[in-house]
Amino acid sequence: MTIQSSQEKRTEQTYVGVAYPRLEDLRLTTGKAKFLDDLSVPPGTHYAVILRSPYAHAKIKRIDAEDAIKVPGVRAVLTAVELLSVMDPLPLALRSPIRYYPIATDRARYAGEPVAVVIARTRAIAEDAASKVNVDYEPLEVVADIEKALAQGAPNVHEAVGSNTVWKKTFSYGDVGNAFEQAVKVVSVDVRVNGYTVPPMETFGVVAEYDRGSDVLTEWCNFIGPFTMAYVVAKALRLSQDRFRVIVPGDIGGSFGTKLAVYPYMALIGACSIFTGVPVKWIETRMEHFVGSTRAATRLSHLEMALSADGEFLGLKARITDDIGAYPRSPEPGHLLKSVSNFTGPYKIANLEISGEYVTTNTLPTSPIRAFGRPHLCIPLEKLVDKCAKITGTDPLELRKRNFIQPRDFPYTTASGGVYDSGDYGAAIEKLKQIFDLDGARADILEKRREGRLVGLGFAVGIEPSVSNMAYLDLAIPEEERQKATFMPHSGGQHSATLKIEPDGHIVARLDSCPQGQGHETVAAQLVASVLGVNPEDVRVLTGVDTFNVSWSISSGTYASRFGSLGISAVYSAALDMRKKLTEAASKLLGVSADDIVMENGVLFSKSRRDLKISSKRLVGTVYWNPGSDALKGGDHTLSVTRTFNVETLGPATLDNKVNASATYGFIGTAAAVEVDRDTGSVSILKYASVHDSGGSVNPGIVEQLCVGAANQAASHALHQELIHDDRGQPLNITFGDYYVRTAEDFFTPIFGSAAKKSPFTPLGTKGVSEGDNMTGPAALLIAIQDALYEYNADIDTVPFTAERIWSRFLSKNNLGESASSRSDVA
Amino acid sequence: MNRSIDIKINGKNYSDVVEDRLLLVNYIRDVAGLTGTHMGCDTGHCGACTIVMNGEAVKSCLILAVQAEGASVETVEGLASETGLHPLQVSFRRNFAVQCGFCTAGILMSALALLRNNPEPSPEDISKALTGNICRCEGYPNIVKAIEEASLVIRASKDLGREPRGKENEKEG
Ligand code: FES
Ligand code: FES
Repeated sequence: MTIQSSQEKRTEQTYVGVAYPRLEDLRLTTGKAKFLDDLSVPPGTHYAVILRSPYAHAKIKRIDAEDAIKVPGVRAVLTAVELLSVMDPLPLALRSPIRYYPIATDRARYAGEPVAVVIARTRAIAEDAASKVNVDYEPLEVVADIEKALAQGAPNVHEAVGSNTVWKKTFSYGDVGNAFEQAVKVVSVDVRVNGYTVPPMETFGVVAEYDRGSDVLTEWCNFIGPFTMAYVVAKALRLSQDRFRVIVPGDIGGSFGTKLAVYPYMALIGACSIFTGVPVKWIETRMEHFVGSTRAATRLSHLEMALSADGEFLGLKARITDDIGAYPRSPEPGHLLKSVSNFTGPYKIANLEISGEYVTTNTLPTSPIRAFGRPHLCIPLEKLVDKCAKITGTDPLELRKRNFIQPRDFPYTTASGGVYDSGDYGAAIEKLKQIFDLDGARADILEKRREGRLVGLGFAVGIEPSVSNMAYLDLAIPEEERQKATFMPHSGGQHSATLKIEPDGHIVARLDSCPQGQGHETVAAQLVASVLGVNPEDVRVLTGVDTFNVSWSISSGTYASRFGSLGISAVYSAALDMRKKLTEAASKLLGVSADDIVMENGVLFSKSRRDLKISSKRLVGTVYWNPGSDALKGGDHTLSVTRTFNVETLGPATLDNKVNASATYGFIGTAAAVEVDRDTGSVSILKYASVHDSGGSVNPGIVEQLCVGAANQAASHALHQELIHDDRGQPLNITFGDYYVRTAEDFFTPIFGSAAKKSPFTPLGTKGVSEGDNMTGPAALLIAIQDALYEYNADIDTVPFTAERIWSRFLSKNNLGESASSRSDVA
Repeated sequence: MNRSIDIKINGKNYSDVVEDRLLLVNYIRDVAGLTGTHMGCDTGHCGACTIVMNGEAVKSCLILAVQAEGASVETVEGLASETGLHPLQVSFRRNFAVQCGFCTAGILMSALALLRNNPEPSPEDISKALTGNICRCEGYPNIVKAIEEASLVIRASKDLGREPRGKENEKEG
């Protein structure tokens, strides 16, 4: 259908705020979508099977591929020896002597690290041949966790560093010393978040084709951005950007952040294609995904809050230790740095000190997982706030409200430089109470407790930042270096959209996003349709990136909830520009001023003289076929616009380490009621509710489905998910049978409410949404479980809080009462 | 070893010579070219590869292509007919039961087998029928609701003596 096809009159924003059925679903429910493994491959494509280290730490003495290479159909067996001839290390954000390659060189540093790649005509042949490669390993002592990594005399994961600490830094804002001196009480908590992942259904995949004729390497991959990483890959492969083409398909089978970490494999498979001269395809197996893709950091945190007599939060101190696996790969140390600007959450806390230490271990390297680092932050922070409420005898929601940033404070700059756009957190809490039926829930808890049941309530709130300002990673660079004139600061987080009207009137929107289930096509079509007065079906939306054909930037991609904030803004702005172009062309053709033109139902006409009109179809035709006409000649009326949207607050980091890491800041409040089974320690969720401030949504159906998933994932993480390894660093849960994943038998249906406060920074006021439950969910559940176990004085300090942990630490009979924290919490 | 097989997929006959070790899922995807059926694991846990074989929901990664000799297989590509989308497809869309869509084909096929065997499933029946299907986007509430709604539509249209097909078909493609 074309720009003129609409039957009914459409006015602007008709489809904004409508739960319009997703356009993507027509292909996704009929089996016609094309995911990476469904794409046809270049002629002569060979298949890669990656041989991985079975040891978490070992010297690689010899790799014998003689038998493997003899297998008919095998093209090559490639090890670091071959691949380093076409590859440099992948650049790191951290200044470090560590050289990170996507394949082990002299040593393997985690179980699962690639050691060799077998390239063969079919995958089956490559698998057969891989079993014939003999690697002579000399196992070395393994450092599998933070405690061991930091112990005196521990072996070093990287000898060049001379210690397992790869980065250490204290950030101080305000006057923390004074705040703690003024404090009437100091409350502290400790929490350990174990390494975990949120594995997507579709595994990683890369097809690389190096073309000798053009000297261009093309890669099809289910990488989600940011395209800074494409730059990193090009660097590692010694390619200039014009010789590296990345094509991301429009359909990606889930990611939850993980598919950022496709980038080391883009380097590895790219190097294989460059070296062998044949196209190479690699599709990760599920077990490879668990041992070789990525995970969230393991974190130990110690938080302290300085409280005034009336429960005001005077200052916050945090000591954070993150285990980021075998290599500090980019974008680490983001687990900590991404959250520095919003470290104090929705609270007004002027004095803040964060000490971070980054530790390498012989485990899988990390990267962003849905809500990058914020579960790690929100869980201890909300546990701390809950404890403050108990100690001061204040209602936990009232204490929060007392310390909230108030509506009149916006835009609000946090102690660490975050610029919050808008919010009414108090109103959101009232809404939460209402949708959760707090009074009813409290009565229900009392009732059940009378029956002797272990039930409890928990609340958690948080900031939901969207978009990533590259500047945050500059905090990893020493200030002295940032002071030098040669230093190039980073900043920005822009999103682009290109809108075209084709000669026959068809509308095409090209985004630089890589959606993995977020329905961008539908949302973009709704926006364009609303502005141009057509139906969403009239707009063909192309997602996924092709770096040779799309207006992209280093920020492109889909991560950090950027679409709801900047993506929507880019599409909407492009649509407005297009309407302006159409109006201007019409004004020339009709001989009236542009502000006199209105567009309705596919017709542009003069408001003052309604008989002066032109159909949009004819208008488009004239622009294309008759631009030399008297009315149009000399002007630029091309019906193609590209808009790149950024917000002004995304500036570089300052020398006093203040940075605004996100463009917009939503809010989320979550309440949960749980029951703990006395006999098994297993937890059932009786009720779960969240209120989101997303600034408003273009498609509430999509927002809701994403949040339903996030809430269920939150519970999966909180109660079950952790990557377990033994003390030799052997991963123990590497299938969907061993690593907990929820099924249709144990989901829950969350209750959601909206408390939208429009952002002044985006044209429609939207902010990002749908990662919030991943952080407040686990926090609220933890607090609810502590409440349910109040008679045990339970201090839940490990995430996930599995049934086994709950039972063995609290419920097994003789533990009654002994588990009370022996620490002095009250100074 | 190679063997020749005859399989009917979505009513169409396929004859091929295949390696013994070829999995049915790889036959469907790589030989028959029907890529709507996916693979999400290598251990039989995820259900992304679910098809209907001789009337039953089956994980096509757990059987060999040669074991399907003579079988009648239905995949997601066969769900819609000339007259339109299947009520399950319509209702998945209407209920926002699809996020990334990678699990969707498998879940639709499990649901299809369920509704044929049990046209009036309770939400518990639906959950049970889906235990072999993982949705990592965790959209289960919407999925279960969509299947329940589809069962109602199918029953209602049977009562009316009409083919239960969706109107959305014209917008397809
Ligand atoms: S592919 Fe996972 S069960 Fe078949
Ligand atoms: S919709 Fe993504 S896995 Fe189910």
